[in-house]
Amino acid sequence: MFRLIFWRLLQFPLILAVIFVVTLLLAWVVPGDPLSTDDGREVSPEIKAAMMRQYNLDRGPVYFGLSYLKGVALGTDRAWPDFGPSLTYQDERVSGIIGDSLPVSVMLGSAALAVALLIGTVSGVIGALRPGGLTDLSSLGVALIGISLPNFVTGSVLLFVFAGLFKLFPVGGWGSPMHIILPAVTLGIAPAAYIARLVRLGLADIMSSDYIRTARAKGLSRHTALFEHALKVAYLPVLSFMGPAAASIMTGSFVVEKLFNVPGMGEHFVNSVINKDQFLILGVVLTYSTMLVVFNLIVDVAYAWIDPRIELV
Amino acid sequence: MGRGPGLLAAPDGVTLSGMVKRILALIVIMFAVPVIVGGFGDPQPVADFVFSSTAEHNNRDPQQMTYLHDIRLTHALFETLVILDFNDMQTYPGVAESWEISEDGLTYTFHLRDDARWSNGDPVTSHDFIYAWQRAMLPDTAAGYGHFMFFIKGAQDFFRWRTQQLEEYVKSLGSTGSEQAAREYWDEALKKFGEMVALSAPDERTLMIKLNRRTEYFIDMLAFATYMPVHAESVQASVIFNADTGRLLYDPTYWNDADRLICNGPYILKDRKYRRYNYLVANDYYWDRASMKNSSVLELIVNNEQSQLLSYEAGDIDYVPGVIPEIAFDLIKQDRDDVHVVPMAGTYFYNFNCLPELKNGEKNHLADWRVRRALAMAIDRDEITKSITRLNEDPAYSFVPPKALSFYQPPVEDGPHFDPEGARKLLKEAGYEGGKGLTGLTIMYNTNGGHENTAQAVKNMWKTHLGVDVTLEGVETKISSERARSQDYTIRRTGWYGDYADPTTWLDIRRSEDENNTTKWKNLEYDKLLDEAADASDPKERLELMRRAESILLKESPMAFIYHQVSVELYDPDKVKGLNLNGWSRVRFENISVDREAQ
Repeated sequence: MFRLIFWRLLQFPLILAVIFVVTLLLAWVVPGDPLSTDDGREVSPEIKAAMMRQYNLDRGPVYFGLSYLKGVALGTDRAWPDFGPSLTYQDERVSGIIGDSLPVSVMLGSAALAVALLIGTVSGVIGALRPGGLTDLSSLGVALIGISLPNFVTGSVLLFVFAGLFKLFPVGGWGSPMHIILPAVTLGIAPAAYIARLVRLGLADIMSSDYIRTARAKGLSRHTALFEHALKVAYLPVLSFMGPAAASIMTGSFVVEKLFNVPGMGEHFVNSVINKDQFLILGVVLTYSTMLVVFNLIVDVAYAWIDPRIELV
Repeated sequence: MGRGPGLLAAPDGVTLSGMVKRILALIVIMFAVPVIVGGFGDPQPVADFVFSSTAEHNNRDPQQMTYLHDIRLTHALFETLVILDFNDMQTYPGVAESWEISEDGLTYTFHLRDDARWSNGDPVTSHDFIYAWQRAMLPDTAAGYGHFMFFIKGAQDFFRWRTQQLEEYVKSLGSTGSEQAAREYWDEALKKFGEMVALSAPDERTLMIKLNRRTEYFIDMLAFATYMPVHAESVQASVIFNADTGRLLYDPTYWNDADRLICNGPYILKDRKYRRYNYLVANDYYWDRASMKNSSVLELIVNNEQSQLLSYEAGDIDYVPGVIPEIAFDLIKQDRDDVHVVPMAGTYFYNFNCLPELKNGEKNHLADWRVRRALAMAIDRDEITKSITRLNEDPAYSFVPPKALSFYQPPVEDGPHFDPEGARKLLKEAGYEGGKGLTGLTIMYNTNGGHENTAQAVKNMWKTHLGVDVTLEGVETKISSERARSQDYTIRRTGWYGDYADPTTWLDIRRSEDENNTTKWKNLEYDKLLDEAADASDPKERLELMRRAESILLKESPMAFIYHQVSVELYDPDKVKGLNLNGWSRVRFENISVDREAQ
């Protein structure tokens, strides 16, 4: 297992370097002027030139990329590492923006994953207990709805019913445990449905396999067979799903964060590109890719933890 | 399973299996991570007056800001020499208690009040103003409104001199530059500033300004954010010299750091949470603290229009300074007395490309003013405001909104009024009878903000009344402005809000050489009239000259005006007192009181 971690860590900088170059070039060719304001006010050409120079935007992507890397690697007189200024939020540093919004998204994302695991596992197992029965069909129905409904619909309905009608939760915002529940449920429903199907299919498959039949024939109760033996194997696909899902959920969802007015990362993925904020684009993409790689590694480790028989190569 | 799916209840006497335990552990970890990572953050503070904003601030440095929502908040933190009340358009003493203007209108002398204090107790001095304005004049700062400083004698020359000096730094020092070298260059620049720029402080309480030319509205400009003072000592402490470029850079985080920021306005920044709120409390050192009607203001940042409305309805927000049209229309229909339709100092219009040749080398039919005017005459603006935008906007027949300035009435009668018959005649004169030959026109609009419906309506009107076919093209805002800059368009939707209370804030942007004149319309008579107006010493004559200039603009129609923008704002007049809405989005927070018991 340590060899695996070692190799993954070795690949790490290479993956990030490729992502950095591709992102930088894409961010550079996106049309539009990063320094223009939304209301179309033009600044005088002299001031414009001064602004371009201030941000190293006037010397092409190679110079920009190298000076950016220099700032990240060696730091600047401001900070280490320095991910540069934001062109949109001019009194913020990119590291400050990510530092403020990533914890929010991670918090919301973890809660959403917990919701997903809980609902997904429970309803998956219920379904598998009586395949084809009423509980199975209704859990299948719920799963289908969960997968098909886009989260802005689920979120709006939850918001309308629980915050608008019954006033059980705040309408939006951030700052207390009550604020986290509705967005976490909204964000967690789709993966919950997915997990439910994975568990249900896996269990049904394994419960009809030879070794379970043998075990049952030897007098093992249905529940012991299910919980002690089958669930273990059936849960592996859920884990491989969790890796990328965790990375994408924890780096924020534009729709859910917008809907519930959560100050997370999601917004930056969309708006940094619209605003052509090169520093912020690079910052959020690199954060996301780092998390993706790390979570995949964690999943592989978790594989071994859940089922020690599995040998990782 | 007679007992139902007792999943966690150890069914049939079996103890909770290892597997279930592990899955449970996983779920618990997922729940625990958030709390470990950052807790839930602090609850938001309670304030006397709460208003909302739908976006986080872009810039809080008074000398660098360009966005309205930044300027609105910053007026609460910093006080200018004079205060312009946008409701009665009068100038009131701010930090300056009195001032004199010389006969020729070129020299201004301000006397600062004795009791003007920074939030740390320091007196506000004339040096703080000069220091702040110097920042705005520096190419190092690259202030968006830096050209507002160029009224001051020598300011533009100093800007150019420093630009050149910095270029020289890079050329002569290259990679051997050091902080020390940058400082030496800066010391030289400081000396130059003293020699070149006509700003002087005979003593701590007196500030003298010399202008390039008579500028009737300069006193109003002094109330603009770029002219705010800053606490020189603490701002100077945030300066960094960049060894590579020789530039003097300010640490931008000074402006959003409640611990470091020192203000001279009615409020100080007590606390802020990124994309959540800004919490201001009264500045105990503010000279007029006794007249303030509240002692704290909270700006909630709600980036979702629906939840903003719900929070307002729930009473969590006292004032919503603008809702999007989709919501506004619904609210207006309900005929509520807390829904206020405020005519803004802004105009919504279509720019025509006026160059003789298009970007692709083809002949530009719009270069003929008759074609442009005919198109403008074929737009039924009442129809657009009644059935498309539906927010009670005033149809526009002039560039300067008639309601924006009480002292200036634009020549609305010369504007292209809706007249299909006249439009067809004019188009025939220009050689395009029945729209024949008038091809290749496209209305380009930005896709955020519901501009497509209006464009569609205009397209239909041109087809019906003139027989002219145009296509529609929706693009992102940034692309639209980039293409405008290179005249890569035929017709483009845009708009303009006034920055200061004078017709020139609109009329100047259609001068031949103005960088905002993306139509490339060129009329020397228009430029001349505006020059004459600028030099006129009689205010009446000045306004008349500007009216004549605007008449030329309206006749030649480098743009088709559609309507004057409105802002739909929410507050309950029974509950919130002293909030005077105006067309310039300027709020004087210190005058507002909220009676939370009133309903």
